[in-house]
Amino acid sequence: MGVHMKKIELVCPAGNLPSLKAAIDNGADVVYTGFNDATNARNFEGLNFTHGELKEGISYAIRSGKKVYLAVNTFPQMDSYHQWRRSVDSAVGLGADALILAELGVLRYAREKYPDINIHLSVQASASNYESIDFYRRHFGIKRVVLPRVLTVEEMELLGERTDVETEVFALGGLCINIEGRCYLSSFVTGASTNTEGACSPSRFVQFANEGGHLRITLNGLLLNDLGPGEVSPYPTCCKGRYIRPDGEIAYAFEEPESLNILEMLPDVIGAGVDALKIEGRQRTKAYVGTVTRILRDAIDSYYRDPQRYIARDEWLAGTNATFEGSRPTLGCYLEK
Amino acid sequence: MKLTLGPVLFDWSRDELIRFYEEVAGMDIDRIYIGEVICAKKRSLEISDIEAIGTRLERAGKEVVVSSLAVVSNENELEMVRSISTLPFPVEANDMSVFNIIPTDSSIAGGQRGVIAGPHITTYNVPAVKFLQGIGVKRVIFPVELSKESVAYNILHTGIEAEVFAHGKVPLAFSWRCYTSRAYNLSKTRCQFHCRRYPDGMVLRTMDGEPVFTVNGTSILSASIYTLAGCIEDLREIGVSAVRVSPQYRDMARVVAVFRKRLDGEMGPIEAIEVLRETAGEGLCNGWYHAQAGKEYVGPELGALG
Repeated sequence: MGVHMKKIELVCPAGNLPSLKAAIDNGADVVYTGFNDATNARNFEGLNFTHGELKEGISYAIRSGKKVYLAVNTFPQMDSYHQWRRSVDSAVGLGADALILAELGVLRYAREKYPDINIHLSVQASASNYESIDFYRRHFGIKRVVLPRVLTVEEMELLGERTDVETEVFALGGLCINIEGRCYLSSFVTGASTNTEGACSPSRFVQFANEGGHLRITLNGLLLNDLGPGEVSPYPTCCKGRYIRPDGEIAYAFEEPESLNILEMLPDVIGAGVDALKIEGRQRTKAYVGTVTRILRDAIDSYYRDPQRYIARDEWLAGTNATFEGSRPTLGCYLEK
Repeated sequence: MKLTLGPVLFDWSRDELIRFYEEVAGMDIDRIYIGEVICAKKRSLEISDIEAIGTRLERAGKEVVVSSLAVVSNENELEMVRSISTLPFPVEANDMSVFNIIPTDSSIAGGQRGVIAGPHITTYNVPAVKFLQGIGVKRVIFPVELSKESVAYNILHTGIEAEVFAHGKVPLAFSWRCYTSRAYNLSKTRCQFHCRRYPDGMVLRTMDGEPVFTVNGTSILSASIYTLAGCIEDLREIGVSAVRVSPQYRDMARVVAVFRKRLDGEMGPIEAIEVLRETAGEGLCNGWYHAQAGKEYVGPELGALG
């Protein structure tokens, strides 16, 4: 496994200015953001940036020699398109270093109007092979693709050998077990389109009810989980719910409560030629952002100092796993499907 | 308005599939989509079988389209896309890779066969449709969650030939993980083909017993049957040119007959829903079309016009 000359880029999440500063102060190369509306895929109440806040955030990044990316990665419907164009215009006007886009019309608009900007293909576009990536490169000149979490590290490496487009992969944090940009579970239950509105399992549909020591969690009236004493659940979404299978077994039929943590596989991921590592969690606190950024920074630096002797330190694993809200660490499909 | 039959989403045996399409050849359907959308590990049909089925259906007077995989994540799956591109049928793209592998522009060599944007391409709006039209795509099957208003808006402003998913368990999600294997404590890599035991998928109920999802290998479908059988007049009015029914293990002929009668104006919405309800084990849904939650059902027999 060769050591790559160019150091892997660390891309960290921020849902507000304090998180952005925490990421930069703790070793992020790049912070990724979104505007506080439906044009990004983490559209939660009280989260994300106004025009003025992004301006301040970009200034802070520039002063520290770091970069800011902005996601406009949802799927507009009907006559709401102007809002997505405005997000693109604002981000370019403020000098974001790259736009993270997913939707064909938005990609076309951004590329035609701004021939020189850096466009990254969002994970929401679910481009999981080099032919799809080449399609987006030919038509929109994408510089980078954020790979969907459906590839093993071996597949990432083979993909990377067949494209000049940079690749970015998720390293830490919450995990969509289903392919993003193509998941209608939340929409099926609530009627609010995750792809268009930018929020899965919006909080206005979630209810917690205490009944005789049990915690019943519903989404738009549909029971997602019934927790007994001592049981915990991460933020309730359909994929993290418990269901009854035909044989009567009650199970987390899609996934156990778990979060991605690739610290132990870091040399493999870097060795696969990946260009950037992304931390999930624009909806999380600045304490989370600061903690996981610092740990991944240390891990990356430690790897480059002496690749052969890299080892995931116990305190890194304990530190990251402690941020996972009761869910356990997983390698997702990075090792095997 | 055309009646179409979608690709078989479940894992049926080779014999069952050949029998099924033999039966389908005799049904009054205009267009039939064949091929594998869900999982590259299914082994029922070789590419030569798919070609033979397509040729048989064409001889029976059907228009035949071959559908691509929805998730293409390695060389093996890309090979499946390349192999369907060698067949003498138009291709329904369910992953963007198809547009890069098969020429879509009819003015260039190999581009005459026609490529269609399937339901798993995220064609949400007018600029997306126009982009696809610009590269030569002639027909779009809109994402299943679009409401009547959204579909109508897209057709009105682009003139695209539009098909909608109109009957069957509706696809809701795809994963790298095989949820059927997971139920047997296996990974996808160690898959033992348990999907074969569930010819209409494995229904999941909530912890208080409400059927909600269907596990089908690496995909998740609804448990109930999504149906727009009550909305045919409506669909015609907004300019939809084809309605798709999705294969189910039993009662396919009955479902097709109901839709044919609806399209020919020989059966009203209430009677159609009555018959279809008998063929839908876990009930009906169609909320998305009416700008509600997809799991809800709005029907003419309930006093609300579909």
